[in-house]
Amino acid sequence: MTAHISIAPPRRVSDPGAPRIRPDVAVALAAAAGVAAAVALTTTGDWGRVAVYGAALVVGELLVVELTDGSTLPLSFAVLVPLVAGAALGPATLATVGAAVTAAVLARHSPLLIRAATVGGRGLAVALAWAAFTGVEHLAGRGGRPAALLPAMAAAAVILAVVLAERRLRGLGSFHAARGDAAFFAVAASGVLMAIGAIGVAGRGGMGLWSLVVFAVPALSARWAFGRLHAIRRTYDQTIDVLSVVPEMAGRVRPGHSRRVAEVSVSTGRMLGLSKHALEDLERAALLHALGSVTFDDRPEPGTPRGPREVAGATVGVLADEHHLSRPASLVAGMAGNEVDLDEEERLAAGALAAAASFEEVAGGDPSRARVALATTIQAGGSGSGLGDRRVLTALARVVTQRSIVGHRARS
Amino acid sequence: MRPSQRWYLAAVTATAGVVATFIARAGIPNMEAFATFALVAMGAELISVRLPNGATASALMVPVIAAIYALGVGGAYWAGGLVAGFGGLYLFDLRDRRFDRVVFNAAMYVLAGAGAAGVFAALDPAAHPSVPRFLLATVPAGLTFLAINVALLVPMLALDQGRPRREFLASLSPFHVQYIPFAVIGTGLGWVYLVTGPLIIPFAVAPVLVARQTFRSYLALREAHEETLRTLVRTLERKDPYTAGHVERVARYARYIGEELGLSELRQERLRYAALMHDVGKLVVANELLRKPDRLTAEEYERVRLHEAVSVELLRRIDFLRPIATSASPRYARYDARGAADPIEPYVIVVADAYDAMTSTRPYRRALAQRVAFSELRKHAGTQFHPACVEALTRALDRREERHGHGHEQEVVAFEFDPPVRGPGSAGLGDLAPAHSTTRVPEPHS
Repeated sequence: MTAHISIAPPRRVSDPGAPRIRPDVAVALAAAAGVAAAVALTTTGDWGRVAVYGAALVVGELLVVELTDGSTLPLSFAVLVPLVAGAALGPATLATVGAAVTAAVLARHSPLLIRAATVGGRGLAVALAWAAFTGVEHLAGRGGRPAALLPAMAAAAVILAVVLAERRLRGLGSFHAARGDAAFFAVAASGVLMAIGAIGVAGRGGMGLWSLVVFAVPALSARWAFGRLHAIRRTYDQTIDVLSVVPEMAGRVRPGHSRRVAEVSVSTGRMLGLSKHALEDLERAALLHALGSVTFDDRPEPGTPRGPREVAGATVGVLADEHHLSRPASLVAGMAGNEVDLDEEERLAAGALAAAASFEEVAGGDPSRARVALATTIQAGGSGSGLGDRRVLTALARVVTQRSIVGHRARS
Repeated sequence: MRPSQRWYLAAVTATAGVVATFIARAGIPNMEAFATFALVAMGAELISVRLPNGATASALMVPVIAAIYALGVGGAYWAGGLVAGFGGLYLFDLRDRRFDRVVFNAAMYVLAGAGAAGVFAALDPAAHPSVPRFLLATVPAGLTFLAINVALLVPMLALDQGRPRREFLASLSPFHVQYIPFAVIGTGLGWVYLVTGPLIIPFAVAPVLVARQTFRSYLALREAHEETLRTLVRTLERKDPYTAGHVERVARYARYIGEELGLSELRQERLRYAALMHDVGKLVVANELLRKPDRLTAEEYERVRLHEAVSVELLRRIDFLRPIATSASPRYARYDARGAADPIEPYVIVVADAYDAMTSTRPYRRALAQRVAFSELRKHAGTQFHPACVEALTRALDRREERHGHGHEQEVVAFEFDPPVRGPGSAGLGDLAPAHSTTRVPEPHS
């Protein structure tokens, strides 16, 4: 059975650690933009168009898509495509872009240099996209309806390239990672739709400025879907973090223990070349590996063992029934040397977890004990569990010697 | 398939057959547009996403509205009724020979699409063509499509799964702002299609595909988060088996109260997460104290009460729950201490927690009767408890005819020693309170 149930409304959670725009400024600018758009949509003159594009750019700068690497992509890039497609690159267009983008970036909490670079980047994107648009339009000539799409596509491609280059220059994630982020394609496709909708083909059939409103919807949908995804991801990660600090609050491990084990094991796993998914499972396993310890009695029966194997067993007991946590549970079991069916990558991950836990057991977050902790871990290498793999121990040694990872404090 | 489902399927199919016949007799005005959007409709269904309630979500409305726009008033019924009908031809169902589903879905979409086309034609935007006029016709048409879709689907889901219709209606509510974007995108797609032809389709499909993939990731993460919460509950119950089922019951009562108070879907979700996590601080309390089958000493009492502060601190570490972190502490969320300050969620959870504490059997006393629990909640409404929350809970339980407490317990742990009915630590009225107090409502140590 099917139903046309779309995604629920966007659910933004507050992120007080990283405010991008002051709410009062954002509201004021958005309100001004809305008024300008409302007035201009009923105006046919050049100034009406300038006002609408300016308003759309401001709103687009204020509304950003959260990307998977934590950086953001403003929706204004979609508006740039119809802007260069619908107007000759005259002074009015340049003034629009300059004023709108400047107004928007001034509202940001970022260094002055970054704001200036942002304005410059937008100007460069517009200039190059306009060149691409007019060049392809000239080349495509009278190619009919299919060819009419090419200039807008070229403009969108150039804008995308400028965005990626700017991100790379500013160190906002790698080019490779950004290139694969679907949000870029959604924004670029919206830009092409806006351009075609605005100007039509050969000057006929366009819906004019309404195109910005109608085809902003796909870009806004992408923003909304990504926003919701990041909200639940943040809630999920923070819930795992909460569970990771419970054993230390209960006095079962040292403060910051699970976080340090997670950082050392993930660094080791990365050194071993584990995949992104394996690293995510490894981090969750490390954060939760001591959770089972809180189920133990404070005053156990005499002779009741309380070693890592027992803690791991108790942790596996509370994790293993869940589908998404079954792999972390397997890694915890493998870490303790329990019989568990693991593939090669999981064996390495379990080894990294065992090595990190062993290292942390001795180092305890004290940098001065790092060498002793490493030596103890390597010495224990032949004693069973995943610690016996030389590749794991070599990776741990490189992590410890190359990075100062032993000084992490407990997180309050 | 049950007999009632067969009859329902037959009725929907017959009606759709009659409607489709009338539509087909009118003749098709634009075969290229019809074929294009029929294919897009099938594609939209093919990449639909399965929802937790068993239904699936797709963007079928986009090609349906686009076709209605592109074929105009003259071809609207072809566009709406028959393009939508193609959406029902779900290839995976055809592969698995689930012909009953295929027939039902196709019939349902024919009727929904025909209804949408009827609204579009009635509003006749072509009389004064402009983008706003078309939007004012296509958006109501899209909402009509959804309304008919849900109205026909809910009875089938209810018959199929043997659950009340209202459960499905709540999640498939058609008149929601979130559906309007699909109608707007459909209108735009229809417009640019007439200008450029089928080549524009991929540009409209790309953002929808991205949103769909992102939504799938969202559902997977949400499920992972639910599993993490279940892990928390399981860990709690291993520490304190006598409270088995407690946090889930508190979450359920909190939902009842939230529904009575008309909280939004977002706030209900936040309420649920907070209810499931309100006892997380107990994980740092010694098992011996949690399981003590006797009255706690004053020192032990303070050590146990520490879990509330720990819970509040841990909930504050989660952005989504930070605004209602005080839910974990009856001391912070006393009504007379803070008044009717927003948000109401902490008061909701405190009432739900207290009710479950009173109506559950614990090592130190037997469960109270429901009427006693209601009476105590009302007695302390306006001081310890938020009056609206108390009233909402009693109303919701009465309406559902749910009975809890003495004589109605569903989960009773096998105690080593039977808990007392009265006496020290008994009667629920002073679970953790000093020895002389037997009349206070428990501040729920649950």
